[in-house]
Amino acid sequence: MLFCSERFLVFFTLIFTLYWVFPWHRWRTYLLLVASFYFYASWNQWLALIIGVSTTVDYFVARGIAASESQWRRKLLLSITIIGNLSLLCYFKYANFFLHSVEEALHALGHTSSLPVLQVILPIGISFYTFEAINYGVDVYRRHVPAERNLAHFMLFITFFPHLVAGPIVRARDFLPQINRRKHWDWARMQLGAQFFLMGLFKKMAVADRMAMFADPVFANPEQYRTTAVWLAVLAYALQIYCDFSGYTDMALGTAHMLGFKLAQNFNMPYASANISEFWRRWHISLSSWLRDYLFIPLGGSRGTSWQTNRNLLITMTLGGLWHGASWTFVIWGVIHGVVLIVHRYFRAFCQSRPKLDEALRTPPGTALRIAATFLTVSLAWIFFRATTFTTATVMLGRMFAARHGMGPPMSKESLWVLTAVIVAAHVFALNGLWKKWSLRMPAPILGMSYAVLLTITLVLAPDAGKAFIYFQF
Amino acid sequence: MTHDRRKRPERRARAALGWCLLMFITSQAALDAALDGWPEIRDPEFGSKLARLRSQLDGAGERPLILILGSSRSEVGIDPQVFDAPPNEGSPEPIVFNFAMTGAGPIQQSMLLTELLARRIVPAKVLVELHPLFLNQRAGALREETRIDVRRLGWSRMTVLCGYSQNPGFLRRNWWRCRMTPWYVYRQQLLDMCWPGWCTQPGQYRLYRHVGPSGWLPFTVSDRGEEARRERLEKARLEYQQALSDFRVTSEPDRALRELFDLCGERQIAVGVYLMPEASQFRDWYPPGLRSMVDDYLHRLQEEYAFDVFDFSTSVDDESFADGHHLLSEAAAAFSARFGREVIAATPADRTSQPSQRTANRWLPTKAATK
Repeated sequence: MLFCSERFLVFFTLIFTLYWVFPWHRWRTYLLLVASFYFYASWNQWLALIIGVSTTVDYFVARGIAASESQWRRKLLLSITIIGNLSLLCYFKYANFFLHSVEEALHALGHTSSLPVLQVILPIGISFYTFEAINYGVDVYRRHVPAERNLAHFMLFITFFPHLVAGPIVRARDFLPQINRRKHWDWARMQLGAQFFLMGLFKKMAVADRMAMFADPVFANPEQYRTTAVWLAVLAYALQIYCDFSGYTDMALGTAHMLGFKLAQNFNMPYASANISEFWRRWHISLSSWLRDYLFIPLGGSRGTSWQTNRNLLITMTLGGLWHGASWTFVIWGVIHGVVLIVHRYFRAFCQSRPKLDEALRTPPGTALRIAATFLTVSLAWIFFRATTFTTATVMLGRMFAARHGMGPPMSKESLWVLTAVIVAAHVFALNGLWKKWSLRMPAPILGMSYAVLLTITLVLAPDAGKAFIYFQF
Repeated sequence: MTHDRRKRPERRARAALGWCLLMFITSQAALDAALDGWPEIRDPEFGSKLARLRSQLDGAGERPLILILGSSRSEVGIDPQVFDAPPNEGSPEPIVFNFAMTGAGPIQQSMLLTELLARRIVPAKVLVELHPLFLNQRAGALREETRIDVRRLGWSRMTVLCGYSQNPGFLRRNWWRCRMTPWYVYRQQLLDMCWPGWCTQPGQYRLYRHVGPSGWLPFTVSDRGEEARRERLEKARLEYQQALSDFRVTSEPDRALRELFDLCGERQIAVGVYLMPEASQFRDWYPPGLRSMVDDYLHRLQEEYAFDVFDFSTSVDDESFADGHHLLSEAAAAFSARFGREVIAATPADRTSQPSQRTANRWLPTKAATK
């Protein structure tokens, strides 16, 4: 059930209406819980059972951690919740990847044996909810949050349908208090929710799905396309993945707001980042902060020697890459980002010892140059993220950096340039705070009409075949 | 005062959402109303033909109109521009227009005539193509209603279709859904017309820009090799294999034809029936008895309604077809000349003749019982 489908519209309208009609807070919580399980079961009811069981186990283990005073027992219970969730993730997501990799390694060593292939369905959103369960367990262990006493509340924290399948990864300390809070109808919040939802819908239907029509055919057969077409496909993919994922997040935030919940911000104009470190503070914020808090810092963070910091960065980004998907291309993507982050650390130190260079890079042209360089780096790294095989990625890169003949872009370039300009303009507009200022001053009828125009443009530009969200596969 | 200031963002938010809803509904309703007068967007095939027919009728004065209603076979096979018909003495030369449409069987022919009459376009005569395989409309893909895209239909055509549907409620619901969000439903046509570079399915709509002034749509194939022709023939076989097995004349097409003839009778419109050419390979797929079943059925109808039948099914050589049943554009010119001589010339063309004379006209559908 995609957020941009008619089925979701019917589902959400029904839940939204019942939610605000119910006068009892407890009923509303149960309604959201049932709705969330129904939402998840619409993909596969057995997988909904798995999430139900694993959440129940996490709930009781966390209660055990909170109740115990014995340190070894608390550690044991924490290990159970971490290992349990990681095992679930590894079994469903990585088992075949590991088996296949071992098999290939054996073949490379001259063995002919073949390992079995497990017939498993990847539960949608498993990477997100297992990470939420782990951060809850760790936070309870650290006594940063109390263990939730109400099972239904805990289940709703994990399964709340707006964030269930593709984040943002919510933290217990942010979300659980919101469940307990009594909600009151608030028009301003409805407007904010609707605004988020419309923005997300535009990003997904008008931009991301259209950009996919430029990128998909080229990534499928890069050897058939000429150099300029491959560059355009990479640009299109950079826009597609941003608009697809941030569009989903906006819709999640919007629906949550309309139900009286606030989810964490996940994107903050990442393509306006002037360096890779800033990019990771603006892109998929809930994941990068999770990796920072539960992986990078426990590994030692940047407290040790330079070598240790570099090692921690590389481990964190490589595992971050692997988190996205069970394929070596994701691992390579993670390694690239790790290496670029390390290079950036050294470059920053290099600039700090040269004040003139540092100053020049902070001027508007210098900043523009840094933004362009960061965007180029990120876009080139996306090739490994998008390509299904390492060979495809290398063919793409080969055709980008050496003039090659072949077919032109799969579609007229007009829409690619116009939508790129729209995204750039929106970044500039929002970065200068103009949107906030204008939307507060704009008369209500003009604001309402601009929402209607945005919705109409979205509907007109939607391609015939809508695509699933990219991050649903993670 | 403080309370009022606190309430202000609430009121503003409510007003903004209200305006959004109002504007959205108004824009949908406005486009829906506009599309009623802009059929090229709602149904590009019908709309482009209607526009050409209207320009033919502009300034036509008392010249009678002869409409050709048929499937894509007629649409690509009959070019009224090259008709080679000697004019009837003393009567004005008729305007002949090819209003055949893709996939149109008896139900769509009936829908089309109803819609044209609702638009005050009253032909003197209609020439109805009888596609033998469209008489078999058992369940599933064979049913004509499954070939019809309800998004394209106006109210009058929709009403006729519901009369033949197995599930009219579903059809109506779909139709209303399309009417409620026209900016979404007709986006490809709108983009193709206003912003072609953004249209993701241009071929589907631009095709009908090639419709000629008299409704003929040339069938062009890029590859004329034997291999490509065989492939097209095989595709046609797969398309019709269900209709070829367990052939029988089913009730819906029979009822549609009868209602079409009845409507013509009511409106004093003459009728002729013809069968389009088919390649020998195509006819070979017919199981034994199929053609005689069609002939018997046609004979019974003819006895009841008294119309002429022109059978061209074996009249064109195999090389003239793109896929065994659609004529190539150059073959269409030769066939059209013959069609003009044999069908149009044989047709009394005076719509303004006296009712008494018209009753004697063999082309006028008259129930045998009342003859």
